[in-house]
Amino acid sequence: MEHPLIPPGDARAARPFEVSDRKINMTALALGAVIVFAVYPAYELLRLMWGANQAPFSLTSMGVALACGAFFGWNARRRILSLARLDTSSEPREVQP
Amino acid sequence: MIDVIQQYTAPYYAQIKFVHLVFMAMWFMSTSVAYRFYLVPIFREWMKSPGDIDRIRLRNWAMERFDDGARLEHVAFPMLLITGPLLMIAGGWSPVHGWFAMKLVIVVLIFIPIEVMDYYLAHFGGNKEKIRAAGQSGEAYEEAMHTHWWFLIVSSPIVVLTIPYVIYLVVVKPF
Repeated sequence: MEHPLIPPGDARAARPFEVSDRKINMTALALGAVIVFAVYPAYELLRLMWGANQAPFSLTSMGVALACGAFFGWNARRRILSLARLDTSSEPREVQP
Repeated sequence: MIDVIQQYTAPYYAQIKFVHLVFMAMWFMSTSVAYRFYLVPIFREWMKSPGDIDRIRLRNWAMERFDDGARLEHVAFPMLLITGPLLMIAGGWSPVHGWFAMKLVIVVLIFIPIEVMDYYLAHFGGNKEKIRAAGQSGEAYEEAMHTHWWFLIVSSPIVVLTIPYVIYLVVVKPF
């Protein structure tokens, strides 16, 4: 391991990578919310501005946006949990302060 | 102005599209092997034993190389931001086309913010080699390492879904 190409390590400064369940849940929720409250409205408004959408924010399109947002958030939480934790269980686990 | 650009670029639509596709592939895939087969396994090994000096050094090496490797991705992205609007003008595309409106929204609201953060972490204030060379504390280096890892953890599920979706939109033009 002693090679100039490999940067040095500082074991004293190193600390475990810990992320609380709350942070993971809020991040996943925020990602889902971006789809529902940013991407979807921006799409509808952009189409409306160009006169291409005579019936924006229909029930059907809102339902699709909600479903996409829910899937996006759920998938993000699942993937984040699998990378941020050593165990692949998706069960919530509190990080001790 | 737009009409003049369209007049000059329209005959070269296919050539601009070729350049756009080459840089899209470079942007999309250039860091994928490094991420999936170097960073993830090395970081997971380090997470098992975060105080182990060999694993710390291996982690640091992998992330510093990854910072360097992101250059390809970050050269490609501005090229996409140049050729994309050129294609829009040359091809006469507008948000009237649903697929195009959706692509535009995803680029502006998802890709650009992610890339801004990625540029910062890989090449500017978050670059680990620069932090080390500047003689900053080990804590600052460690903080940058954790921040970048968290960013990759959060951004990977986003791009894994949105990039293929955008490719689907432009190829299939489903709506």
